[in-house]
Amino acid sequence: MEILEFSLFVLFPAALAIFALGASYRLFRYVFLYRKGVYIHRDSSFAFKIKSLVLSFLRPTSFNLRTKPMEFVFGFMLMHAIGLIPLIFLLAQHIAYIEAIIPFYGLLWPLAIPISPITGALTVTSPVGVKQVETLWGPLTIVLNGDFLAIFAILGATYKSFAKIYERFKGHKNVRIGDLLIWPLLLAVLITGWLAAHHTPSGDIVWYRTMLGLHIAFAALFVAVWPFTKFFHFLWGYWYGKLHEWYDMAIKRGV
Amino acid sequence: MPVSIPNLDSVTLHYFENCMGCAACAPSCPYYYVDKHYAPVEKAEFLREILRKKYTISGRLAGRLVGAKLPKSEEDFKKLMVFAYRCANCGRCYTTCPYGIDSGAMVNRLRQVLSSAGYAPTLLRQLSAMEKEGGYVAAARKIWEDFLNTAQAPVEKKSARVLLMVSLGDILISRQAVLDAVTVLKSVGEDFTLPGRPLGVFPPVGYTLGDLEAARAVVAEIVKYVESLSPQIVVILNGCYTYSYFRFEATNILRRKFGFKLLHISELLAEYLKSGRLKLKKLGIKVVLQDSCQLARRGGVVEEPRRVLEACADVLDVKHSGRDVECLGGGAGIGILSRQISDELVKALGATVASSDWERQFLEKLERDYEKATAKRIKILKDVDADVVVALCPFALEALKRGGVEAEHFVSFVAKALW
Ligand code: SF4
Ligand code: SF4
Repeated sequence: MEILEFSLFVLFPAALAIFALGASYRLFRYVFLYRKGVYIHRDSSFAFKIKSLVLSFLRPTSFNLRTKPMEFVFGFMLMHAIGLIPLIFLLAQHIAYIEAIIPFYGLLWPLAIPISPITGALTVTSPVGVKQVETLWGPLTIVLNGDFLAIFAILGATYKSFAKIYERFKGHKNVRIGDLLIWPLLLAVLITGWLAAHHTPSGDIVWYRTMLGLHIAFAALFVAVWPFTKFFHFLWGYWYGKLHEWYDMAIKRGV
Repeated sequence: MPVSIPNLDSVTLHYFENCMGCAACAPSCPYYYVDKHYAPVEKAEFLREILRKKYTISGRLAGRLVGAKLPKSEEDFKKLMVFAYRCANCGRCYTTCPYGIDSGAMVNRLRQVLSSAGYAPTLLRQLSAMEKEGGYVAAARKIWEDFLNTAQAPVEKKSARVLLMVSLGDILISRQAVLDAVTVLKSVGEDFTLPGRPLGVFPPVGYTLGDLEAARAVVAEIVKYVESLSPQIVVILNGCYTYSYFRFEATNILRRKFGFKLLHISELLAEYLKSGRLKLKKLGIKVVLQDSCQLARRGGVVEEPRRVLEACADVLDVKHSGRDVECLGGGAGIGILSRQISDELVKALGATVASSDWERQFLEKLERDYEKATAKRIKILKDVDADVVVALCPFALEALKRGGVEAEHFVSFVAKALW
């Protein structure tokens, strides 16, 4: 079996199963460890509660921009906001693939992002023929396309990798062993994806299928380790953390 | 020595496992400007190492390789002491963290581990023991009687509307402010009472060193005493952790709600002002308000002190105020360990400050770091063209005065504006 088929039909389903088990384990721990507290909440208006909810999410971003602009540009903007998030969830090829597993994901088609700024073709090699990505983004696809987003994300991830190595070298404890493993994995997913999309290093179909196979294999590894690494923050830690902080600070203390 | 490791609940689990190590929190901490290794995440990481060893399979199997380890040697514990006592639990890193990780709470849990192994500043340990066993009451009898004689106010009056919760610490470092609070209560004709004895030293001191059992006992004892007097409102003068602890933690610790309402003095004065009971004259003084982290950020008391001050002074703006206030670094017991305050405690209670050469050096270094941590905020406050900085937290007030700032306690300032 060639690597593309192996990745698509063996690795990825296995990764999804590991992901489902791991994610359930992590989420259930929160349920089982929940302890109800006895508190006297400070009264506050509905408008205050909504405003503070929004601010809980916004405040760290503006603080980061003011205090660590490099981190903000590379770590938050390039890597997250205009890098990985749209790339993973909205790239047309990804929507097509995820839709095959989770049908309602196809609702995101209007937001799909084409793979390159030059063509909106979704696929030219598939037996279904050429399909065009029709999106709402219009001229924005000059920037909002797989090529650019991947470059942004690669720049962000490279910056973060070097920053982590530098911090580790300086003896800072916030760099953990997991960082030194997951950043290369993320870069491997991004770079193989970019190479496959560009039919590089060779236009030959075997090379293309190999590179795409590697991309999916690395993505499968990413999905499998997702619940056991800091990658899980996107699905859980971030949302739980901010909502808990909002409850603790705004609802309970009225701050 | 065996250590007791905190149990995991869902919130501690979140603080433990969802920190990304991004260090976005670092610039929020006053101690980060003393040494980059005092960033909130790095201090909390020492606890994570301990938790990993106990609660993760990888930590148990691979130990240090995956950043999991328990402190074992005396050197290990001493190193942890340094990091654990570079946090004022001000909560700023909590709100600047993109993931809502409360590193201050983690550092407090680190202190719990240390305390369980017998590592805590001697002074805090002694004060906590005195508070728990009540020894401070007899030791400070003369000081208390002297205070009552000066205050000339009702004492231990049952069912008064307001009980002014005065601690020994309040009398030792903010005596004039307590007397001024009494003056204000008299001037508005409040039905109030003082307690028959000081309520704690800086209650609960046990919280500062991570001795939860002592903290619980002190809270239970004070609440029992207060309930025996049946006031409707208990008013706290101390704008540091005593307020936030009694207002937001005590009910959870005792697992029940109380029969009284808890207010900070600034909240009560704001109520008087609103109802027209408190009449203040304009003093023609430009002031800047140094909010208290525990009152504003961890307590939600932001507008009340402002409203009261605005009625009697020109309140100037200063950056990073209200809920975003920059900490002066003296919370969570660090202020108690500072020289000015510890000297007072030694004089009043005969307490010992340090029990070894190592501890003496530890405290001297802490004092220097505390001063450096204070410097950034003091510069910002000095740059505002104010006549006086008004503070709500007794430790902040001491730090400001030490830094050469003209500073005054909120209550004392307001008392000067009484008609
Ligand atoms: S505590 Fe929050 S801001 Fe600090 S390193 Fe961890 S995730 Fe980042
Ligand atoms: S709670 Fe305050 S003092 Fe403690 S680590 Fe966070 S910012 Fe620093």
